[in-house]
Amino acid sequence: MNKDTYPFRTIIDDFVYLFVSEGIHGIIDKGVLIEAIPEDKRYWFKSCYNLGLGDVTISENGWKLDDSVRSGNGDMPKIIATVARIAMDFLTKPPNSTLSFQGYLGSKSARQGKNHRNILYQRAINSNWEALSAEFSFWGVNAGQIEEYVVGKVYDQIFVKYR
Amino acid sequence: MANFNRDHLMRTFMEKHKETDYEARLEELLKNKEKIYEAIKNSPFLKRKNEEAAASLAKLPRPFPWEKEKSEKSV
Repeated sequence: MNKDTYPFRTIIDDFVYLFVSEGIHGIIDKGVLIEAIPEDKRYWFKSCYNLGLGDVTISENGWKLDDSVRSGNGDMPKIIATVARIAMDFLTKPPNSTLSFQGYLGSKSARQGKNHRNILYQRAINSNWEALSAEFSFWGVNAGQIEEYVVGKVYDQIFVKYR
Repeated sequence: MANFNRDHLMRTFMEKHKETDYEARLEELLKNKEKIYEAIKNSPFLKRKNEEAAASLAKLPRPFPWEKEKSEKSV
């Protein structure tokens, strides 16, 4: 990845990451949680993880992960590139793990029928395809089917695994 | 050319300075890492996102391509 990214840290374990975004609204603390996906109450999808991103804020009630607003800090490409780098960092750790990306569908995205965060995730993947595809396998979900990732095609969900 | 070099040096200096600011901010945040960890791990938003991912994964046909890859490798 040759994109500009923010420095990040893992906290407590390898599944929670923190970084700091800076843009038109100033400094915003960001949290990333990578969590195993439960298949149902009894089973778990084999080593499949979901990646979630939100703003870390503090109020009188303590720390929380705020999802109430899109931060709109004007640095989304840099945030997405940072998240992509976090994903790469994570995937080199648990053996045979697969990571699922499904961008948050905000009201603006829903109105326009587009998942903007997914589009940005894909832009980061597509623009670094040569380097990324040498190290990682990618799949995309289109019309309810998983297929090998094709650069330029738009997907509802993306899966990535360290080769 | 001299202007270009000066601008380039200034930009590099500013970027390095910002990088140090981010690192300092992260160190500050890490002083509360247990509380932040709990907030992120117990976030209702991320729990919902995880359930949505599980629901969408459950609808996809099995085996998944990465499971096929794994079994092919083990043969």
